[in-house]
Amino acid sequence: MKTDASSLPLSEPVLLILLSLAEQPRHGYSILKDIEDMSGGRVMLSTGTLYGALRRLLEGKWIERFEEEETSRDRQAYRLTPAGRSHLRMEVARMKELTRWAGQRIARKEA
Amino acid sequence: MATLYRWLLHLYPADHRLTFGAEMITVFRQARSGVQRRGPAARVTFYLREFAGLVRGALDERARAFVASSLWAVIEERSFVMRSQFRFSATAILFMVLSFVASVVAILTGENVIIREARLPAGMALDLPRLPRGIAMFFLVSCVAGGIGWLVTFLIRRTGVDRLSKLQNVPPQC
Repeated sequence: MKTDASSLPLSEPVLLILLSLAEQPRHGYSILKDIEDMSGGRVMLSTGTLYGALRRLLEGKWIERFEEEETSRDRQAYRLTPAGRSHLRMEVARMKELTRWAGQRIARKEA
Repeated sequence: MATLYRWLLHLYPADHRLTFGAEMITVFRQARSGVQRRGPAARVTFYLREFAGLVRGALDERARAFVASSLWAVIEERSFVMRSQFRFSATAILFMVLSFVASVVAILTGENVIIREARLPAGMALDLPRLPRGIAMFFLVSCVAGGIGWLVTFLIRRTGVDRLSKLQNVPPQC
């Protein structure tokens, strides 16, 4: 995964995973549930999709495995790194800008 | 289903399986227990999504591992870097063996094929011309010619001619 602004826009699963981890560190199942809740049941990731995205995010150092005392091999926690948080902010800013342009264009057409 | 899931995990590259395999099984079990009380339709959708996602994820990881491996680097190096060492290509040997096997199969198959011509009396048959044997002979001659060529190149190498490529240009002394 690229680690600069050229990696934007993010895919929806990646964006949702980053948003889920932005709030707090989470385990795999907690990420799945949070994404489902966040999207109102519209997005339900499979474990294959989730761990493919997590692997790419770990490689890009956007997230890291969170050290816990009771961490076992089959239950790992993940959290955002500063780089991941920075990219998430950039993506949200990009989307805001896009939404603003879209709003202006639609309003102009309707006026 | 957990057994099938574990089995499908073997589609992933080994490093991915070692890093995430146990965790994925745990999350799959948790997600499955979460969907148990939602009814049969939700369960079927869940299993379809999980297994399709698993297969697609495995294909993605395999493709990534293939691209990330040094295969392309090796191909590029072999294509664009001139080597002074002489090596008889392993690919050539492989194709020679495959061609030989194909020729033998063609001979054996050709000998079993019989053309029955309408003009011949009933019961009489005509064997195919021994074309496959001709192909085999041609192949063997090619192999022998290739072997002789390789031997010549090997002998040239033994004379040390290939070391000429390692010589450094020395500026003429005034």
